[in-house]
Amino acid sequence: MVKKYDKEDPLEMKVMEIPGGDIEHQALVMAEEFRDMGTTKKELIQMFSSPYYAGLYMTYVQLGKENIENIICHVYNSINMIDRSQNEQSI
Amino acid sequence: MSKVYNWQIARDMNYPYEGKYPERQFAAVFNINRCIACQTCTMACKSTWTFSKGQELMWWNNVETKPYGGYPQHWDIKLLNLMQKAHNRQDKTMTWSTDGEYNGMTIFEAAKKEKTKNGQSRVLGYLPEDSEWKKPNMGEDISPTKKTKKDKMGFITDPIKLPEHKSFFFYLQRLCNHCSYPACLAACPRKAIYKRDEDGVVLIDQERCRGYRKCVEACPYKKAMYNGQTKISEKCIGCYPRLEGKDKHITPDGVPVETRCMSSCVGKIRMQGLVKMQKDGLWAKDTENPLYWMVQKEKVALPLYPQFGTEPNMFYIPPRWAPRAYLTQMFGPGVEQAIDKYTAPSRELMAILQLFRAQQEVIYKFKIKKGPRIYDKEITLSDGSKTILDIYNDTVIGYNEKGKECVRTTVEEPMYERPNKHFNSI
Repeated sequence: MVKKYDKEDPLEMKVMEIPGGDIEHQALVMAEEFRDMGTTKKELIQMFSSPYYAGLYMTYVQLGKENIENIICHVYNSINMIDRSQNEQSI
Repeated sequence: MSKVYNWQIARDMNYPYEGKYPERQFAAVFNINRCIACQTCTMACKSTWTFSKGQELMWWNNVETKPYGGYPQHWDIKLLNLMQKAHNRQDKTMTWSTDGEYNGMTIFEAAKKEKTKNGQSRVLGYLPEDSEWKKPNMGEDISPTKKTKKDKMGFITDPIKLPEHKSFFFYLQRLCNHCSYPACLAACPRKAIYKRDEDGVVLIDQERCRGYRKCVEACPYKKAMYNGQTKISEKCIGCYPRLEGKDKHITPDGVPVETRCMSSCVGKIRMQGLVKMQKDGLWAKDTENPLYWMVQKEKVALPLYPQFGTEPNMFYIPPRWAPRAYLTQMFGPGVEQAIDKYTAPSRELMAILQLFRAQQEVIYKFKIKKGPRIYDKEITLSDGSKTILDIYNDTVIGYNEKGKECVRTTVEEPMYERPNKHFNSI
């Protein structure tokens, strides 16, 4: 059955897809944003696999578990903490 | 029509009145990347200003989910369609030149040869239907719980399934832009709308207004609204008693404090300011002002639909993950540059970002005390290339109107570990 257009239906407009976007790039930048807000690696893996985080979950469904885990590992591995006892000279 | 200069489209344009600019301009920056659409700002505004009879469908501040959401529904798509048709008829295109100049027509220029449905001829616009104001959250990612099956006891038997977006989405924070060339003001036949000299807040004189709704039709952002109870129009007032420093509970010193929507932002994505203006309508050079730094110096925050031509004063740091073509249509040609500036921020910008929602008082000046380098990280820029960014734990200090320190914070969030004698004491 084909449903007729219903302007009162809050889900109606979700069927239209805007072209463009790179799903891997989206997953990467979202992972970077959450990392920068202090989310831990373990928490972020859980968030990507939870449908309650719609944007993250969208990429998880489309790219698969393995790819998402690789992206998360890459994002967290790319941070290099400085040894605090030696950092005074780097001001 | 007068000729005025609009810096956001980098050219002169036609406007029904001569340009007249305030001493300072109410402006704000929103970091779209960090908004979670909790709607705390929306409710802060609603519970302060629009809780009366006749204001039920009125949301001076709202946060909508793009690309599908809108309040009123499809406001931007409808106006862009109108503009596209006008450009087609007049054989013009809505394009930008490489030096940032807009080649198309603004809503004031397009109106010259277009007849709108309701006869208003100064600004190209439309009057939304009543039903379009009814569902401010339409298009938001919501849980369709009404479809859930329940057993005899009323317990849910099926797990809740959430809608899955196919492409991308982000949250757009919206309130009156207190434009430098307000379309509402241009269209009002009663001259009931005015822009304040002291802070550039655009207000509707409630005694002069007769409710013709020309402002509702003309405002491209649809932030002028009609009150069916009082039969006159209303709009965001920029919480002007707070801007005037009259709220003694918050500011015993009597200095300007941020509006309700700004000061309630739990996501710390908003920063408001009162920027110094020149007599010619450009922002006066003031590199100590955090808003000037973001909007004019680094150009990390961009106006919403600058091609409309009203020179809006709310600015947005665009979301990193959304398609660039969509963002360019929404924020103009500076999108790539703005995203890269935000992704790999300068030391100053990194410090300013910590000031977002860190205090109630409006910051007029900021200073940085340099701190140690704490880490470096690899960053992906918008063209996919990588760069290494050094992060320093600088201390940033904000000063209020009277030059008094009102906030001091660091890039690295201060953490306090509570002694274990208080364990589980909450």
